[in-house]
Amino acid sequence: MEREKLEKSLKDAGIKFFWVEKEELFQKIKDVVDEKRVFVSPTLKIDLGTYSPVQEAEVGIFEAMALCESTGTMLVEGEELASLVPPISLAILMEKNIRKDLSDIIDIIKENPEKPFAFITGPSRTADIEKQVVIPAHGPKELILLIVKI
Amino acid sequence: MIKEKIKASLQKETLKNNLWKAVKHTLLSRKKIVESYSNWEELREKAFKIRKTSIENLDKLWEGVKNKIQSRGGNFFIVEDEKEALKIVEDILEKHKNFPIVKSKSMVSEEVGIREYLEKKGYEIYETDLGELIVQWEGKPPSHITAPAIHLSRFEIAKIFEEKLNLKVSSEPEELTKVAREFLREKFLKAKASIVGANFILSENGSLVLLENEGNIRFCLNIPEEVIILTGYEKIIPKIEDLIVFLKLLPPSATGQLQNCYTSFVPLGKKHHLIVLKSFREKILNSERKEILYCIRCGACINTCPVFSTIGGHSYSSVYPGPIGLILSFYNLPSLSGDILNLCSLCFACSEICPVKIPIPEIILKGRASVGKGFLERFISKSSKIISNRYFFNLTFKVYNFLPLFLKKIFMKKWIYNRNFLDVKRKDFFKLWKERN
Repeated sequence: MEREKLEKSLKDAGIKFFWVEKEELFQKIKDVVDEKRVFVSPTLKIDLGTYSPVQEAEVGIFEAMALCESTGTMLVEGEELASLVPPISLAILMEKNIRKDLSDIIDIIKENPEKPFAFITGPSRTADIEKQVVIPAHGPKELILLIVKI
Repeated sequence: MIKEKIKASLQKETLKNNLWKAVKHTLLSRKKIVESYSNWEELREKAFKIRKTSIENLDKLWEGVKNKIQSRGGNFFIVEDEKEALKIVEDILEKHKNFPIVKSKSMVSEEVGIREYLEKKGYEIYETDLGELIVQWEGKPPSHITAPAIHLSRFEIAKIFEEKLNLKVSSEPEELTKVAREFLREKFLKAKASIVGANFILSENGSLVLLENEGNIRFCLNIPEEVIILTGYEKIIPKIEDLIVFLKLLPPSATGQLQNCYTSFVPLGKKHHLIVLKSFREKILNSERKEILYCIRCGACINTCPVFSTIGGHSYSSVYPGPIGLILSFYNLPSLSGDILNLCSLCFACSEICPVKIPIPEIILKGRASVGKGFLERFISKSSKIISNRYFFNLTFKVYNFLPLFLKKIFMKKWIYNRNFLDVKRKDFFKLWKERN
């Protein structure tokens, strides 16, 4: 992995990211969530106390299964509403799941042909009015990525 | 009909400015990304080959999709024409008539006219792509395949919003987007059914692939109970490995991005109805110009076309504007074909930019040759043969020189409107040459 290249790709895609140690992860999540209403994807096992329904949550927490170094694209479970509905997206990624090229991520999809997936490269945006970029469109306005070092 | 539309477009001062600004922006961003790729040409070459094999094996590839979808309990239809598609959609949606229907951008749905049809039947249906929602409220067709509201300025859009929603809004794109977001969020959560398009269908595992930036497509795919996918007979590729080439080529070509925000991969099953439209595609398949079907609808040829950025998308009288629009309309709308093929200056910019290397100008030229069968065309083509004979060539000047000056000037009126009048020499070049030597 080339850390510099990855960080540039994430920045270009408009993704905020933090490198965290495994022990710090829980605290970091709590820092981001703060007092906000939160929805955690059922695939993640984190206990944050009380949860809101996804359409009322302000933060959605979910797992990124892989991350592409050259584009900053992350792979998530396709039907994952935590990455779509709440205004702040918080993705958690294990460092070992960083891949070089998009084709390496496509391989994961190929191995699971019955599962829906989604690529996410940045917060939701539109440029339909005079080509001026506006964030957000329908999805989250902020995409935060925690990369857990191993 | 086309001439009148072009005249009307040219009279709109703002149109050309809006268009020019918008396409320039996309083209410049695209260029930067293309230059950062060391193997862009190689990718194009690969894409061309994949599309070629796909189009040569359409029946077999769709058979694979059909089996996959049906084994998962989903519905699969191949339809011959728009009418058939409308009927199937209506049958599926009937039980959801009391709920809003959310729809994402799909050029095939524009071909079919599904939104207008359902609106007439009393359905509450919303376009969810911002640009599409704007043109739905404007009451006009989209003017570009990836930027539907490119013909409108922020002020015009604000006016449309005010009239439609009966509220005061500023013309800031941020505010307009926020208004649309809040309006549609409520519809998304209520909807029981959605209509989407397809960027690609993967034959190997019967999956749908959709690229977007706004997130509206992910809402359409994941919230309603039933999803109708309306796509064209050509939009299929064999394997998931083939996809990677297009995932690299499409975002820069379409919007000047390295990657778009969201790409969804959906194995089609129980909640899905896939409707595949043949219509004029059959005609293209039976012609010599199958390359037209390689198109992945990125819109790059439209952005780079000097004719498009002057006259705008509405002048083409077709769902598909720009260079690719010309050759699609040639088969889709035969009544327009003679006029529409003239909307090209043969600058070849489109074939240079096309990510799947469709030789668009050559197809336009061939098309022109095939429609030029009228009296005038035959006369011109005959006279070009006569004029290439030296004797007749000189004779035309002799006849011309016989005319008095004032008649010549009347004859040349249009030519000398902003040029000096230069008369033709009494003696031709060969004679002068002989005399001087």
